[in-house]
Amino acid sequence: MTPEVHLRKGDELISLVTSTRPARPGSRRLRSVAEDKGDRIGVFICRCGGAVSRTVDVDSVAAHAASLNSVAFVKVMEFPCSAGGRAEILEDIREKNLGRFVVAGCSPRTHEKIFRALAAKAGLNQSMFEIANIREQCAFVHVPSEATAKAKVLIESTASKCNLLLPAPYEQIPLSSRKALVVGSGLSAVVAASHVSDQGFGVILVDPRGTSNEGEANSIKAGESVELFDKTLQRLKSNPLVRMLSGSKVIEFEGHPGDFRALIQTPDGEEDIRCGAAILAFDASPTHAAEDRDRREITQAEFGSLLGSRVVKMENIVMIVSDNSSEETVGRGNYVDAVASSLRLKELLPSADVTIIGSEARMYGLHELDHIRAQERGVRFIRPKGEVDIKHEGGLRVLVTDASSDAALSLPADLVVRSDVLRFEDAKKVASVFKIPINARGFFVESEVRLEPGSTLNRGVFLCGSAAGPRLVSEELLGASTAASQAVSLLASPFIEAGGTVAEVDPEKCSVCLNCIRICPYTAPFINEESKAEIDIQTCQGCGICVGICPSKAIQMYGYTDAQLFSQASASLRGGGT
Amino acid sequence: MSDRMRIVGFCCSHGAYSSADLAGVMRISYSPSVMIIRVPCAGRIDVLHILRAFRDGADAVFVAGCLEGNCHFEYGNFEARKMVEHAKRLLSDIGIEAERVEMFNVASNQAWRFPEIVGEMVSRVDKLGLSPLKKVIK
Amino acid sequence: MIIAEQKPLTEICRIVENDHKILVAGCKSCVAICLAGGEKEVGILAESLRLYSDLNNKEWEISEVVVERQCEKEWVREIGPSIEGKDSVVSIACGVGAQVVQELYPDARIVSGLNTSNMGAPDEPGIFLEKCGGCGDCVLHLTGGICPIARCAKSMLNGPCGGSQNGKCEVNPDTPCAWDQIYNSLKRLGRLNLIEKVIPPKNWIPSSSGGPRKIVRAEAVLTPEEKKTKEGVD
Repeated sequence: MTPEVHLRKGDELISLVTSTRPARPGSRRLRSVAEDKGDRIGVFICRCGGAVSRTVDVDSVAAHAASLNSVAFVKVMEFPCSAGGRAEILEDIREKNLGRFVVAGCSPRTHEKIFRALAAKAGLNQSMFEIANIREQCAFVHVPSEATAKAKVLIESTASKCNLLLPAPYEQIPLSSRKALVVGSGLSAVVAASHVSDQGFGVILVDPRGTSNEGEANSIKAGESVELFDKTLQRLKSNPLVRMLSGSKVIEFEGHPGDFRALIQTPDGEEDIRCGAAILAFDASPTHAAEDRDRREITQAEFGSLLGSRVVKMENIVMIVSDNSSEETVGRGNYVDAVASSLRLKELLPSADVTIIGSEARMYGLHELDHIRAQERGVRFIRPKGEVDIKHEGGLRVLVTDASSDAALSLPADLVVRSDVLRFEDAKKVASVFKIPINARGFFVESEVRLEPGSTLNRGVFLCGSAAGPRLVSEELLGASTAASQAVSLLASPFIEAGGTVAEVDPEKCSVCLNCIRICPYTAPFINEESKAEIDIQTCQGCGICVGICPSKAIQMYGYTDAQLFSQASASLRGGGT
Repeated sequence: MSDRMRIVGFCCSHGAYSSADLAGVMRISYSPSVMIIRVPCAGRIDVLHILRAFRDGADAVFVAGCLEGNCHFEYGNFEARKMVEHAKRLLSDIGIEAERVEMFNVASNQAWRFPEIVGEMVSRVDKLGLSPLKKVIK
Repeated sequence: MIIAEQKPLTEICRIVENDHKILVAGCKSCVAICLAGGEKEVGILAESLRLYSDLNNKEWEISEVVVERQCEKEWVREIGPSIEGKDSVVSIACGVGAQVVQELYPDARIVSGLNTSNMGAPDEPGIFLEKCGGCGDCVLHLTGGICPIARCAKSMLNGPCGGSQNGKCEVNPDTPCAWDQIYNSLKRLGRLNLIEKVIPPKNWIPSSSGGPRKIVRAEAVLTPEEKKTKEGVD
């Protein structure tokens, strides 16, 4: 699989370059050559109840740490992360007048938060500490003699980085709106809106299609969902927290989590609204077959409406379930849909002869029961070998080779039903308004499918609905709840935290080459009124890609400046004593 | 000091660094010669960090990011890979074997992968010998 | 802007082979933007030279400096102290910048670490395309805003040569045929009649064949009195 890479281009870039945001007042100057402030460093070495000290000779490590020039104070502790341990460190910081500290123990992945809070409590900037990972990456993996030597180097290199730390900006920004903007017309949109409003947060539901619901799309799918859609919609209509803007669309969207501004085009003109989070609940719709096609070949969605009308007289039906191709994306439920509609047909017309041709019987979870039911009612399943052909002359015939028997079959058909091809026509437009990437197939891209499902690269904008990829109805419902809960947890937070390990431009060095603007996955850099690049600390996610590519070395990053990394690497190569 | 093997690994916090943590939790041991430098994303590193590490006495340097297509920051790992390729070209111009630098992709749940990477780099240094720069490092 | 690329490291090393104190001087303008000579490249080149030196017992002393614009005297004067005492200055500005440094410091050995290529523009990240031939007699108004001098391999002035194939140039099939582009541009502009206009043999006198060109903007030139006053002030 080719990974999809999304780089920003065109209009979006232009808007970033031409925006006239003022320069941040008192913009910090994060120099690549950090100066040694001569702060006193305290080193706290953890025994971890023996987990470290069984392998590492902590006293010898402490002696080495104490010999380092930058280190003013060293202490070996049982559990620095415990409440008692933290209180002890706090006292030492105050008593020994320490300006920054190193904790040698667990991985920063697990313990960084704890010590950040401790630094803040001690009245230090939250970034003025470093963790030397002498547990997971030392005591646990090396034999005692090696582990002790390595722990010395680790602490030395961490202290040498710690010595160059700069106070990072931390800001707590109040939310200007605690409403959610939900955009979409289908089941996902109403369900997400209802979840958010059920939690007591206001919702502005922008419904581009007006009255429609996805019942039109596929009545078999709708069988499960149309009732839910109607019920939910009614509930939303009577909920005072929910404002519905039908037949409207969002034409501009900008801001930060907790403080977004959207310009909405309603049938009565443009309206400016504010919201704290946005949920994009668009659905990809099945495309209609070409106009000049044989009327006896229809899509699953069209067949669904036919079944809905209950006037089906065709005796021989052949369904062809296709797989994703390079050009077409078929629904995830294409096989499920085919089986469900075959069952429905058998209900209406028990004498019907139904064949389903598909190479993979993708029946998720309990849908498998339908599969068994369909087999019991005499639906024929064929796994094709090679291409499936249709002969149009005279009576329609489907020519297929059965993979298990190698028999070439010619099946008479009154109707051939093909899988729906999904397309989200407006994806590009919507994506550019909301500054989120789309993939090669034209679907929205979630930024962290596993860790933060429903999130996008534009923080505060969440995704659900099949526009984020083909989904079953059950998955759409799950997606809607996920997006809603993500939005609610943002809207419910007392404030938005910004800053920390963020990148910063030195305006004196900036050549305004635009490379940072082109590369940033989050549109954090922009050109300010002083015609220099600047990085919005509320948008910056702290990856440092811009720091690496800046040809003028004008960008540095708190916690990972060049000087800090050089110094850490150098000490880890040269350090450790004998 | 100078006769000891030292390998610098710039490890992305989300992938390789976490993989190393997991290897630790599972007590999968690896050579102590590797010195892990934690970075927020492999894309943070540029060629200069690699060159500087060699001048500081590294026998090999690797950059490890998330799996391709799974970068926590979308495409930092692609940036890193291109940068490592550039570093390889420069190093061979300088006269240092390009094999002393490598780009890897690791997911945080691949505990076995990190020790494997270290093993790979150690065996490269075993084959190539310690860095030719060792002799001039004071 | 001016597009340049770095010379191969081995070539730079050969050029400064017998020097001892070497300054790598970058420029923050065009060459920073085309990723050839900004502060980042200065750092990488300097570090590469140090490694090369260590490896080959050269004992080079490498220092680094970056100038706002190496093509302007006032900026270049700022790096005077860095240049002093150096055996060579590896300029990774364009050829213009390197020469201005040489003019200001005639006793210093200025060598160019870049090959200056053309006047062009960034096309997409990492790709730079030549756009202007600097011929001194612009015809863009006749050619739909596309330069046939720089963008046609044969600098054809009146339509494509016989080697234009499916919109591509026969000299390099990756290059679009400039005249194909000119035709499409004029068509879009509704000015296809211009393509029938015969452009007479070009006046190449303003081009580079007559030696270095000089542009004089009279009102900006200092009068003898102004010069005198300025010198007096200095």
